Amino acid sequence: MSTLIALIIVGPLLASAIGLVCGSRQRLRDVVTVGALAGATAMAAWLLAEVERNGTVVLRVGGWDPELGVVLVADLFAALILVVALATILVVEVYAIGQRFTAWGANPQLAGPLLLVLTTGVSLAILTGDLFTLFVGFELILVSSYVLLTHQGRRGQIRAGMTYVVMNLFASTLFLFGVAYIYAATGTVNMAYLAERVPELDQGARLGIGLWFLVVFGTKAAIFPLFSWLPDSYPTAPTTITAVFAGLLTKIGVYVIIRFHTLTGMEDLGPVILVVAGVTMLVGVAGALAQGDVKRILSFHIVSQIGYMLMGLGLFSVAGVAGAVLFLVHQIPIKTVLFLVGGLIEEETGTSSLDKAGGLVATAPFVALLFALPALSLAGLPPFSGFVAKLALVDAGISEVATPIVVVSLVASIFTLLSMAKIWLGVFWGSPREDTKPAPTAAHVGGHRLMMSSTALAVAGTLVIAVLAGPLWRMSERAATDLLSPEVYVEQVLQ
Amino acid sequence: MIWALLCAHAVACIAIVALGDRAGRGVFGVAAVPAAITTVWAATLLGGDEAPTAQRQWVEGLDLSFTFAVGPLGALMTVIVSGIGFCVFVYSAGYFSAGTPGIARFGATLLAFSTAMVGLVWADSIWTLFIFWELTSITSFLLVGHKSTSAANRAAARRALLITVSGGLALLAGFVLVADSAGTARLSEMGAVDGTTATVAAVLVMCAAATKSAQVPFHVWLPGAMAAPTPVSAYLHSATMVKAGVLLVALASPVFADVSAWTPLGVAFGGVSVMWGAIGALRQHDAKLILAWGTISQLGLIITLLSVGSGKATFAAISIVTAHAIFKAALFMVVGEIDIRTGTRDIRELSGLHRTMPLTFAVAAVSAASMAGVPPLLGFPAKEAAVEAVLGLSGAEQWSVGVIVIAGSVLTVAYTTRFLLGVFATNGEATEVAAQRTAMTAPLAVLGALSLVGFIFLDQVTKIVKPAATQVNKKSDVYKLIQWPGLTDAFMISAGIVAVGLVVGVVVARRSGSTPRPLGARAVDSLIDAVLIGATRLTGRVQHGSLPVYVATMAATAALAATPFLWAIDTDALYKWDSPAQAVLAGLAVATAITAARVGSRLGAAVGLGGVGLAVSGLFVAHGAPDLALTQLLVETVVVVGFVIGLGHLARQFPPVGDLWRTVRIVVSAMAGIAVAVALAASASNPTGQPPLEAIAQEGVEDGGGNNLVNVILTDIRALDTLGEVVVLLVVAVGILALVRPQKADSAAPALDAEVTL
Repeated sequence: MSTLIALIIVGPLLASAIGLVCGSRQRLRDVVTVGALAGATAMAAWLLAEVERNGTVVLRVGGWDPELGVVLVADLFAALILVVALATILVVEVYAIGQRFTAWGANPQLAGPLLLVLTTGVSLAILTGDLFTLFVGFELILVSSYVLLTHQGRRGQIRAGMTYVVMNLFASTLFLFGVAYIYAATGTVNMAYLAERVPELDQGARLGIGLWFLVVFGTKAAIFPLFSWLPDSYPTAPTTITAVFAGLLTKIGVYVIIRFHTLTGMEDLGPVILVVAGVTMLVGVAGALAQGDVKRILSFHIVSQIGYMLMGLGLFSVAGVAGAVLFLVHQIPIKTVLFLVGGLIEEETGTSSLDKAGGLVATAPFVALLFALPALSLAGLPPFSGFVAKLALVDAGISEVATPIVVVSLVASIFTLLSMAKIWLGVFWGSPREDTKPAPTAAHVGGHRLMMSSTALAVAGTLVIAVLAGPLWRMSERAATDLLSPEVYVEQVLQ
Repeated sequence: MIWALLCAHAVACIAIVALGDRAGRGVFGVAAVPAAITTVWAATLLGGDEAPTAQRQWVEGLDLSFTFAVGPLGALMTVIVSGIGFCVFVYSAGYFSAGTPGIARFGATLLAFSTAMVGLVWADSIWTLFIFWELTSITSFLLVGHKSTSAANRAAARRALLITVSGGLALLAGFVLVADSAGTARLSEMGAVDGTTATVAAVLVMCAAATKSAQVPFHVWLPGAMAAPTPVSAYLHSATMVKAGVLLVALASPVFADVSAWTPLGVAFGGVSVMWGAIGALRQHDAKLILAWGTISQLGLIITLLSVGSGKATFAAISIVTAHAIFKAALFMVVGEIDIRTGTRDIRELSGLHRTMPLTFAVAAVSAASMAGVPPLLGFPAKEAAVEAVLGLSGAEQWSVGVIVIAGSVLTVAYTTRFLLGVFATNGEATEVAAQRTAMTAPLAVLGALSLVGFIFLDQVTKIVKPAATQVNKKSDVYKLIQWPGLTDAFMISAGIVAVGLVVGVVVARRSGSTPRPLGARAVDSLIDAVLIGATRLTGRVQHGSLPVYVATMAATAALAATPFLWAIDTDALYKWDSPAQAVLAGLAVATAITAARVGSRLGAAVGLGGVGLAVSGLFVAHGAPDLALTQLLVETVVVVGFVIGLGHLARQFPPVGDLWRTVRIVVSAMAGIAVAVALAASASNPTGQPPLEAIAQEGVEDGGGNNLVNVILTDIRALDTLGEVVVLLVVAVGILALVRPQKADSAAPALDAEVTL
């Protein structure tokens, strides 16, 4: 079964290489890209089934002992997030093929292969049981996303890319410092050993390490006060690329925070994390309220929603962490879908500005439906997945008597709804503006259909998450139980 | 059967969407089918003992399920919801003209609301109730803003959504607390709860009910919601959705019976709403708004009676719910018909309608009389029951509730009189009236007749109302509705109410002041605007777009994060250096770093950074790693060369920096540098493990097959990391190519291909 892990990492990388050298044979590139992503998703699903049935799967890369070499670990948490992440990227790629025929598309020669490199980075970051390999995974994600962000060479993109890359490289530097601290303090970068050795450290060193990595991973996750790079850079990229970024990159940051801070037993940091969570929710949603553009509103929501996942972690209870896990599972596709719909709005109206667009509910009712369902889910309204995730967190918060954060989370969700209503009022209601819409071409129509159907598929996927919320919650609870008892992880990796 | 009915609703909804606008008014025919079936089914349950249930788990771990149990109260509410729903669908077919754009969207949303509403009244789990509760808020939002080209309508929809959903969140929190205290989410299994948690929960639940039932001060969304087409106002905002709050209070009152805050809070909400709503109704000139404000008042009366919790009061409340649904829906339909046939709803412009629209006038007169509590109509015994309930109370409670009921009833009679006179009396030249539309007239005639029929068959009504009231309050079992009570105290009071109310109404009807400004609605809108402005200001502060500020923020945050390390430095465990040369090199590195930061020319700074790199390579040599040092030297050289090439395109000097900002940067940099030093010293102080150096040395040679351990680590032990970093470099190369040669659609493809395959 550990072969699956290797294939999931290497497969997309190989496909990426093929994609880079197949030149103008675009169809071949599309087939290889979609094939690799579909294959990786299928294998991840298989891996999840296997992990669910028989427990954690560990791959010792090169057969080296965990003390020396790199291990890749698929426990329930990793396998679950991996499936959701890969499936999300797959849908976006299909959408991207459709969007190529429009003015908003990315350059197909680079976008596909780079997306595959990004996929490898994501898989590596999720699966790794080694702190330094995590760094490598982050580098892969960072560099491929930077190129994806800037490859069209538009002025705004280059400027935004600068903010993006400088902030993230700075975080990488801090990451390296952190690795140095950890290696000096424990003599290892293997996470299983870290789980044993970090809790034995002096209180000061332990908390220092915990806070330092909260800053490092928090920059990736875009928590307060480290999120500023995100809303400045994301809206400038082509829709598909922003959709992947929005759905995955920050969530990988959160994933790693949950992984690292539970494994190294950072319960003492719970209150700090809760404060950060609350401020992140409010500042993020305030940013969303202040914007007048669909993509910018959605970008700020990424920040706000990160706060919810941190809230679950900060409670450091099984219910809380399980809530965070479920929220993660819900949030990855929801965020991506909303950006894809943002792309459809641009398609229909020629703009994503609330002032310029309007009346889509009459001219494109299907797009309105595709927006409404995930938007309601984002705001945590029933009967969608966001409601289950929010309820789980509120429930966990109330059982831990963490009243302030519960109140903040509810207030933030009113504001979330207000900003979704803002989009609805601006884009879907009101009078349609016919003049802004570009004239479609034949290829455009076919591409448009592909974009529509892949978005519809993704929306259906988010509904499936809602329907399967019962089993997913059970899985989240099991994952959370394992996360809060690091000895399980240690035993599985080192045996 | 419950599932089948819900499915029937869903199927009809999908059918309407599939049919689209080309079906025209036929969509209402489709929508009426599930409503009719549901009405008939629920009617067979009325007064019986049978309580059908259905259950489906959703998220077991969170006790989320779809659990339904249609008790007597549920059955009564279903008949109201689906029965009036049926009438409204028929009415809509007359209200809209055939070619109205968006008619299918309207029909589907209205039916979706109807579905949500039946789900709500059937719910037996608080979470089921919550789910449908929120769905009614959403569908209500969509219906209020249906005519979305008007900015006022959009604002009204937004206001309604925010208030009801905020209430929904209070309900969410309240329900989590209730489930926590009661240990179950099933309403039918829930016992009475008390304690602090229960009190908080009770307040939250009552507030939620008040938002939904438009109780002061949360009522401000309801008048605005009259922007919706009149069928919506008749259905959602008078007969059904606003009753959801009432239903919630009814279902929750046995649970919170022991919470002392429950009754006063409910009476306060209800009492203020009775008065303020009635006063509002007396001040409006739009017939629809008169009715809407009247609804606020009437719902206040019902909530007051339910919160009191005596058997008679509960019985009266449920009776009024029934009577109110019938007469209010009829009155709204009357106004809608007048609006369509005359083109106005302003009572100052309408004249002579009692002659030109006789049937409508008859229905309006009957329904209005029922609203005023005049016999022989259903509203009369219900109002009598309320007065009786007041007489049954004692002490301060009797006084407060008595004032609310009697003063409220007087005002009700007054605004009813004003409504009838204003809309139908002759007042100058008669208003022109368009032709009658049967689809509109028929349902309102039926509803008008029901107020009378209900009075005639009052025993049957009692048989329906009593079990419903008993479900809420066991003590309601002994009461009944009475057609003709004789000259009791209650009757005398009722007669007095009608007499005084008539006088007030006639007097007020003659005066026509200016239209009152919607202060509450404006307050909410300016609150929303204030939030938006505040958010913009805050975001302007946080998200200023300056990269140096972001970097400084991050460095400062990291420095703060390292604070705990200060307590972990163990000076005994640390030593100064392996050799003094390290101190010299380190000093050199620090000095060049400071120089690099201080120089004003870009080239100087680049050279300074190169100097730092050189000193670090020296440190590697001193530590016995010449190969690393060599690599570092190479990197530094390339970087400096790169800088020199790149700097050719930039100004020679850094842009000037203000003193304050310069100080901030110096402080933050120093903090960050110190933080890293402190953290490293602390980490090295008391390690809890050592690197497996011997194992690497041994296995590297044996299994890795190489004597250069760095190479073995790079190419074998940690080959995965190396692979990753190689890919990183490749991607950077590709990215640079992409930027250097901007793509021109597909024509540039072969060029890029050639470059990459090199």
